[in-house]
Amino acid sequence: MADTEGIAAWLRRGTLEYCVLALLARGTRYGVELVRDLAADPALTATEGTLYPLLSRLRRTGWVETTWRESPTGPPRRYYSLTEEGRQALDRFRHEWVAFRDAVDRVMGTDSR
Amino acid sequence: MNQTRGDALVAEYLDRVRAAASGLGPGRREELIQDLREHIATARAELTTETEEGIRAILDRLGDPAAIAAEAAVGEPLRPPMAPPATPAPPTSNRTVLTVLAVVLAVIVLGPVALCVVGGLGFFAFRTGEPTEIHGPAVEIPLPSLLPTERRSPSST
Repeated sequence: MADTEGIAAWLRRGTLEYCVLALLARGTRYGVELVRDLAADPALTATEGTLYPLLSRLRRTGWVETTWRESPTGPPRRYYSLTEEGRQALDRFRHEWVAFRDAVDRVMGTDSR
Repeated sequence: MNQTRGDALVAEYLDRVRAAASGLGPGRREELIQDLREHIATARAELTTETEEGIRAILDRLGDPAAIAAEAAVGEPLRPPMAPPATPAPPTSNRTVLTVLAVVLAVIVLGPVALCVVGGLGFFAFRTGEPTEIHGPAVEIPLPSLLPTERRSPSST
């Protein structure tokens, strides 16, 4: 189990950032929403909390930006949205990802199941 | 009552994150705490009725403070470049200090000795160097004139 989690963690390392960008490309979300959407799939995220350091990195990189909006139910929420730079990074990743995924599948024999 | 119990749970959780993230820079650590605090506040506001179980569930879903801190540290682009210079620095400076000390000691202890040796050698070289420093055919000319076996060279030739 620890080994499986280790592999998953390593695979996530280079890809999860772009999953966040891809989610945000569909529309802005506030932190809790974004984190819950990602953590809903256990293959993508171990826990919700580990996504916040990742969001912080994306803010610093300038790929996402945040704006505060009033909430009808509670404190103001911080909404995340994709910047133009983030959109370009996502496009580059999509391109690389397809080539990478296909190559790994060919080598692993996981392409024809 | 319920409210304060919930606040205490949240504060305790954030303290554990803060402790686990002690390796981060203070700015980055507080940013992380602030992000989690916001998440908790928003998630609490979304609970239909706030119960201790509800708050515990929010914190459980956030996960282990150590895992969050580890993620923050791994993704920290500034730490790895900062850490290596800090580690090799002490050996380098130690080595420099040792080298300087060795040089100073060598000068103090060996200096006079070296001076004597160099001086003696210099004197010796000065005295005996004159003939040896002359190369080639020039040697053959002064040698007979200096050596007492002056007569041998005419006899040998």
